[in-house]
Amino acid sequence: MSTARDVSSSESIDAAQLIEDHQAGIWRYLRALGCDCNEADDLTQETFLAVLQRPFNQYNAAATAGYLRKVAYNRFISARRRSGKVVLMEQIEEVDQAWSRLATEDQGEALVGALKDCLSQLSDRARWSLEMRFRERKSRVEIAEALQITEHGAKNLMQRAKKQLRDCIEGKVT
Amino acid sequence: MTANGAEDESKDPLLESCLEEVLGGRTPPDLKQQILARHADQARITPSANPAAPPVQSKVRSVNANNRNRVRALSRSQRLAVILMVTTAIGLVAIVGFLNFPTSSTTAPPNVATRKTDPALTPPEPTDFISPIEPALVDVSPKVSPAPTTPIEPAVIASAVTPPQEVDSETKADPVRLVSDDIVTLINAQIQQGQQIAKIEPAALITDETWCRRVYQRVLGRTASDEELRRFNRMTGDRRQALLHELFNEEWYRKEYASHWANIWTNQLLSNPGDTKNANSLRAGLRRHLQATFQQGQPYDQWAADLIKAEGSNSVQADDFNGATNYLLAFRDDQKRSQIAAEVCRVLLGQRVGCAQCHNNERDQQKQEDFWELVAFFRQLNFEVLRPGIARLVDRDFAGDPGAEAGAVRFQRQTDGKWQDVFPRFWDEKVLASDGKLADGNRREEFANAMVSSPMFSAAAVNHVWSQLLAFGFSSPVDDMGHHNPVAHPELLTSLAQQFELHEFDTSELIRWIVMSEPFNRSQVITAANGKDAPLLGSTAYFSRFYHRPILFSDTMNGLAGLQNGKAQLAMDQVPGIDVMLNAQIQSLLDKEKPSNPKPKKPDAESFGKQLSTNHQRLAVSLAKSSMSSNQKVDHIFLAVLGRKPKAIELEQSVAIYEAAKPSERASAVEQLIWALTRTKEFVSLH
Repeated sequence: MSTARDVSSSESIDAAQLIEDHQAGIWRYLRALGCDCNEADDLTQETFLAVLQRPFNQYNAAATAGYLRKVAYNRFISARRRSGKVVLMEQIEEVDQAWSRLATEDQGEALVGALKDCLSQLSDRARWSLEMRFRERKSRVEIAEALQITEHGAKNLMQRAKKQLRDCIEGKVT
Repeated sequence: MTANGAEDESKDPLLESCLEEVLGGRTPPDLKQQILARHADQARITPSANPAAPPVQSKVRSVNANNRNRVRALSRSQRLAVILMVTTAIGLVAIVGFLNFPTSSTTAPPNVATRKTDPALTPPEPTDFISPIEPALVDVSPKVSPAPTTPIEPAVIASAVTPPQEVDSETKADPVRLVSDDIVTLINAQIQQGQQIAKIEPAALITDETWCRRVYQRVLGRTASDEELRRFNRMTGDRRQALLHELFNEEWYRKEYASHWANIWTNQLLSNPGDTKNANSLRAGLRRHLQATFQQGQPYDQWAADLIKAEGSNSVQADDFNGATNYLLAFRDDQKRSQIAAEVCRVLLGQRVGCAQCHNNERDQQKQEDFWELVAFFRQLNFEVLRPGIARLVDRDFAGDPGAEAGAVRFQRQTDGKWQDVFPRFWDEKVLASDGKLADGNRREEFANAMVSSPMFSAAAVNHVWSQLLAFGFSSPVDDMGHHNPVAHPELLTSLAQQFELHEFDTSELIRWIVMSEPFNRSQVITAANGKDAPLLGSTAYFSRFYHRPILFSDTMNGLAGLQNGKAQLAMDQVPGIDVMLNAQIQSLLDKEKPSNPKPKKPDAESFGKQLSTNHQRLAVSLAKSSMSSNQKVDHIFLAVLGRKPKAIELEQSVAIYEAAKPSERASAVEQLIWALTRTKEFVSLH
């Protein structure tokens, strides 16, 4: 069982270690909230800079990760507000809860690992459709043409594949 | 994972981001070095001894309000003299130390020369990402006779910035008043430093002509006429300084400058008036007052304090007429006075405190009582309505809220629902424990005095002016510099705010520094090397290029105001960049056609001339009569419309168009060329 340490100032925190331990988790979390890669890069940096400027209690890794995630969350909302983009709070909250449930412990490594396993369990056509979508950035029309199905069929195929992946991941991670 | 993700494939961002990582290869990058570099830079430039203090506010507030009274305003020659004396002293000590070395090394304590060789006393090496600004002591020795061309001594920059790791809080030097050239160099150095850390390559510098055109646009709020551009080109010596001197000192330009900045500040101050019914007349009254104030050259702190302290009525016929009253009268309908405090803090201090009215604002570390303490400053203020739109500001004794102590404001705490009494207090300063009687002191005056002494005040002013000239301020939005929204380039903002104070809040000086600096002199071109610098998308503004500024509502209003006097063409001149659609609308209004036909009509060849502004029409007539060669005429047209000479291909094509016309149609060809150039993105984007 971890015990609470004294309040640490930003000077006494090992900044390099803190970043190394948590940057991947924060970056993935921001991507899940809806950031593109560049925005996730920027907000991850801003999150750590903000945290390093102020002292905070380092109880354990999970608490620190939670604190960092909260700061990242606020940065994300502020950035969206500044750029005038609409934020669907309900969806954001849902992602936040899902992340807390599935990926808190290990910065999302287990989640990504489970996804790799689950992908191998998909049918070939389902996996191809997702690979074309996410690896080759093809449109739904192009995917439909490649698989010789209708556009609607391609949409259904990917939806079913994602549902199968979700169920598989839930079973592996939780 | 979302529960409803099955309905729409785009509704599961967590899964999709993971798929993009696993299948698309978008894996988390290693940002450690970048973060550590930025963190080290922040630590270096944040002059805060208290690590718990907020990064922006602490810096702004950490400067003692009385500091500026103790600041020594040294001239350049005085500074050089000081540097010379210090250098000589160090040199003498070093020589003596060197001569005594054989004996003193064994018996005496280490002197200056030996200390340098002592590894234990050797200062740590600067890290590789530290700025070009060197510690003052390091750079003093070679400055025995600085060359006249040296723009600024690093020691001077260091004294203006006072990095915390070099000077502790006890021995922190007061900022020194710098001359304009030094401040410009300071801006350039700080901005370059930010760009280097972010690995952004700035855009190229612009030509004198483009700069001239830009200055007219941003300082006077209008385009430069071709005559003014020609006059600028004829100037000899330092043309830029000569033009700025003209703009700030010639009576006619001074009037235009005052009018433009009165518009800007009126819009800033009254963007959210409480008295919506009379907002227009109050806005006009405040604008007139500010225009007169700016024309007289009143310092920023003076006119801003006058707005807070104003007494009297806004009726020009009244004996106690005071145009400054229009500002607070605009909030007359707000019975609780809370909006006044929130608005004053937002515009003049760059702090949005409104949230703390109802609850503690954790993000900005603002407590409810902070807000109500600010509100308490305005509780002696009363409005006497004389007739619609006309009222008087008077101060009366404030007995205190019902049930509260004498002179106290009572509010209900959100945390426990209990009532709390507070007295006026300006943030960290001591409580003004008055019983609310005027005989004990006028609270608005107390607020105005505390406000103009606050570092937040000068920082907010610099931020406003900077954003007007460069399209983006140090914070976005410009009136929100709270803890939750750290400013870009905080060190530069602090230094500029200090210098603004030391230059007696002279706004024309502040404008001069900014328009002479590199950020104002950068091209607008977006390249791969500066594409990351995109504040419009929410990222930090690095000022590596000149940002496009959308047409301001005030510009449009100025143009439309011209219309009411039947000066359509002049009005178009006042609205640079307004497109063909608005042009068509204006024309249709003038022709008394139905205004519901916004679709632009493509003009036929004969109507090109009618579409031009008066100045451009005159130019076309003059060129048609001229005996200049085709090349010279095209040069002339480009210079007049775009403020630059044509490129080779532009020249070739334009000359071809001009010479293809029959001699009898050459005048029309000139009009067409001018018309075409006024429709280019370059013309529209105000350079």
